[in-house]
Amino acid sequence: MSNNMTAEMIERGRWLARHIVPCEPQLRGWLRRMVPPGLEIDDVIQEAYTILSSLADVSQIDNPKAYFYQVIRSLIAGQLRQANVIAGSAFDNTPSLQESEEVLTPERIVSGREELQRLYQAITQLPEPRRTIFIMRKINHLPQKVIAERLRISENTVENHVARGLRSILSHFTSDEGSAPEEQRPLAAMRKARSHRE
Amino acid sequence: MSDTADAVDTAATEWVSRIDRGLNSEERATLDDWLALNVRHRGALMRAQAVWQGLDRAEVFGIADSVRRPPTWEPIRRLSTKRNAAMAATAVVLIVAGIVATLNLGRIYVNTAVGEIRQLPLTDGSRVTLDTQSKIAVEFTPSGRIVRLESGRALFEVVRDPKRPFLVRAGNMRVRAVGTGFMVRRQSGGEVELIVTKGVVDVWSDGNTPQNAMRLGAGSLTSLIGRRLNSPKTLSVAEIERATAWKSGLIDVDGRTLGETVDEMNRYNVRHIEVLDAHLAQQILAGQVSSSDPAAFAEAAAAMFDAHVRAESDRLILEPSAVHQK
Repeated sequence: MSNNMTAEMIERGRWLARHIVPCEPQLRGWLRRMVPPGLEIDDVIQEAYTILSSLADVSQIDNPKAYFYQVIRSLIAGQLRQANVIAGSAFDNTPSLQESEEVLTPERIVSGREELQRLYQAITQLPEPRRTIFIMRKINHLPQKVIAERLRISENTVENHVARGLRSILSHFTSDEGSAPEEQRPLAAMRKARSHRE
Repeated sequence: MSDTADAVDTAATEWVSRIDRGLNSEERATLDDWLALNVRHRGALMRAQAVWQGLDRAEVFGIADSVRRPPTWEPIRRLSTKRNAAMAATAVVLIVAGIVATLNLGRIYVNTAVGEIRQLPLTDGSRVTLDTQSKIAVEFTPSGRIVRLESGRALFEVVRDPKRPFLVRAGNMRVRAVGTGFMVRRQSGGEVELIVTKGVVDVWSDGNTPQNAMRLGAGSLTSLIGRRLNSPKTLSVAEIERATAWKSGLIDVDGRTLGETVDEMNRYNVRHIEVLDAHLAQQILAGQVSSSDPAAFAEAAAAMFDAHVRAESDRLILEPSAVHQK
């Protein structure tokens, strides 16, 4: 991967972060309801990101969210046909874009305070020292090397904490609307606690 | 091919962390190999990268809150009694800072990176569109709405609320909106430019009173140098559209030289274009171009003016074809 590719990667990453990542929870909820069991949602989503990352130009896409849904839909159709799960035409009423008007509404370019709050919480809810490392890196914009010096830990340790912290944010942040992590669902947590006691 | 999505995501976040600290050439080759292994790897990497970059936006809160706060975590082995005392003192400061932060809850800072154009809905229903490399501070109180443009350019679309006037401070310029749209730009030389796109605004300079404000209607352009407001000019609808083209990620290049356009383009992109030939830089362009695609622009300009694009790792060089053939 050349330097130049890294710059392109950052540009595309910005586009994905703004238009695609915020649709993921809703998309996952929708897929879970619509897609027959046996199909790996995570695989489909990774592949859809591959397609969106490989496009030469995304500036012409007026409604990135609808485009993302179309890509997902065609990937699923292809997979199902390949697996011979469903005959071609039967699939047409599976994840239909007509399902809800809301799906086609373009994602707001910037989300309000609420989404920013969510981002901020994703960082502040990390266990220490990851929380501090993420604040230094993402809010104070200190390079990993400087963070390592300030915290007197090795650069390798910082790198591992960044990777693991990001890994947990990745699952938490893009998780299905209907299956939020337990800590976000006090009722579920309570139910769980009770069943342990019983 | 036994990769589970979970393992792929884990590997992807490890790569994002390594890319963040910088890859050496050996690692780059390893990454290329990993990407070639499975088509999903690229998607997983870009998804993790996007989430990672998205976290930068949390800085809006950071400035109001934890950015001024020293890290709360330090290796325990470094604590001494002296340090404990210092930390207790810090804790007091933190509590005070916390109270200040609460009182200032209404103030948020927003800034945009290179190439970023951000629309920001405000709690009153008004909207600010921030141009590349711009910074604002928004402070809403029950009696007023104040936005400070600290750098760059912003377009304001203001919802009328007679009880809470909407005031923009940009350097020495003060603009009060009366249910309206206007654009304010701070230039590097200290000059501030105002274009009214809709409705009416009052504008005055710092030190003057709002009672002496100049009232400007849609289509007016004025600028402030030092503390002096220039007499307003009237723009046509087409001129206003050109002036606000940036909002849609476009640069209006009609009648501009290639050199000027490249300067403008470079404000939006990490990957800069350089024009190596003075004659080439003076060529006149027409139309509108996307501000986010320097490569496509360079190619189009090269085709138009018989030039050649030399792609280097961090920039694109436009030079006359003759140089290339040498």
